[in-house]
Amino acid sequence: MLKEINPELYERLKLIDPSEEIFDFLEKPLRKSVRINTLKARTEYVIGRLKILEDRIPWCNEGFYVNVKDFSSIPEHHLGIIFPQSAVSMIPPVIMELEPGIKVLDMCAAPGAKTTQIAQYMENEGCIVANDVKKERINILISNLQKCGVLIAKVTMMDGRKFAKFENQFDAVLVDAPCSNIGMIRKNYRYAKLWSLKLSLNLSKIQKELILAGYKALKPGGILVYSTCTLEPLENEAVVDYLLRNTNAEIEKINLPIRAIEGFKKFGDLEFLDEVRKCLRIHPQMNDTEGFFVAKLIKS
Amino acid sequence: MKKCDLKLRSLQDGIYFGKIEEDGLRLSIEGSFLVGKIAKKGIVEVNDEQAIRWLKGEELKIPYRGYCILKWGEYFIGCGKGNGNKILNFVSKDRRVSCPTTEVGSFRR
Repeated sequence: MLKEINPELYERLKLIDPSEEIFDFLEKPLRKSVRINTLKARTEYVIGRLKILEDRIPWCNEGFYVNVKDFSSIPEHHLGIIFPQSAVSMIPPVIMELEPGIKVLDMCAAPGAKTTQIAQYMENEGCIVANDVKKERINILISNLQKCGVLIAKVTMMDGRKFAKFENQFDAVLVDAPCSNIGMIRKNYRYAKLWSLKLSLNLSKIQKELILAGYKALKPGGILVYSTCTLEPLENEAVVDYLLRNTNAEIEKINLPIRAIEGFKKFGDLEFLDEVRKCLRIHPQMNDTEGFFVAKLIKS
Repeated sequence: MKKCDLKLRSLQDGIYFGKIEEDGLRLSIEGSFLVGKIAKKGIVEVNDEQAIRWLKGEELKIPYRGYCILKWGEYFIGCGKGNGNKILNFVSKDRRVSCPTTEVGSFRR
């Protein structure tokens, strides 16, 4: 089907992942999942009550796959006790080494799934700057912060690149960058129609500026996590490679109980630094999830 | 709680906690979670059926007078105001469960 919708993307994906399986999984519906909001309830208590919860997500203690058609009849959803969130998108806050009292920047925060997860790991102590650039997305972010009972978030509406002037201010930074969303095709086929190489090239430029600004805003010794829901190397390895070549950033290996492959060292004409292999590439067929890319960087 | 010292122009800082009325404090659902954990009085415990009716936006026939926080197991499900016969419901429309009571069955009985 993808071949008919966007032949250019189909050929590109064959270079990224030559397996047949990836195309099978891009057409399968995505398993729904939720995260239990420990700001409002104990995980074990919610597990004991909610019969929609199925398997625990191996890389996130509070994450569960669920058997539910829609959430409108689930009291815990309305109360902000569970939050619908895709399984792979729970990864960035898990690896940010968060603790109560620290200062965190979530540069591209809306709709707020990762921001609320960050707040729960910080036990509502410290400060989160939850930023997004678009007004309509900010409203959803504010509504989700309210529902989850996040007390420590300051919501800002800025171009993320402007955070470069907040030099050495944050203990941890999340750059969950705007991307071409190829990894989310199985959730919405619209992303397949929209993709072009030109789109990824344009996004790559913005992503490089965002990661650099996030890195500047980070305190020495702090952790920056860069993530996208695309499989395109121009928006992933090329961005991390750019940061490593232009700063003193160090990349750290990510140890999680998840099936993934290392970042590419080479893709077509592009060659990346060897350290880029420490990034995680999660293709849809590996864990029956969306596609995802994540890198963990330290400011030395 | 320590105040965040970053100088930024924020659109929102924290959450909507509640509203001070002439006759008491009308808490949001989030306010009820925060206050409920430490409150010594003004808590009304409800059963599964009452909780679901409450979350659908219905009043509860419970003889209570004044503002109270409703508690369902370990959850706090909002703030209401009793007139002596029933508790008036303040759950906002966007936070209400939407299907008939008989179909709301996410919890293990």
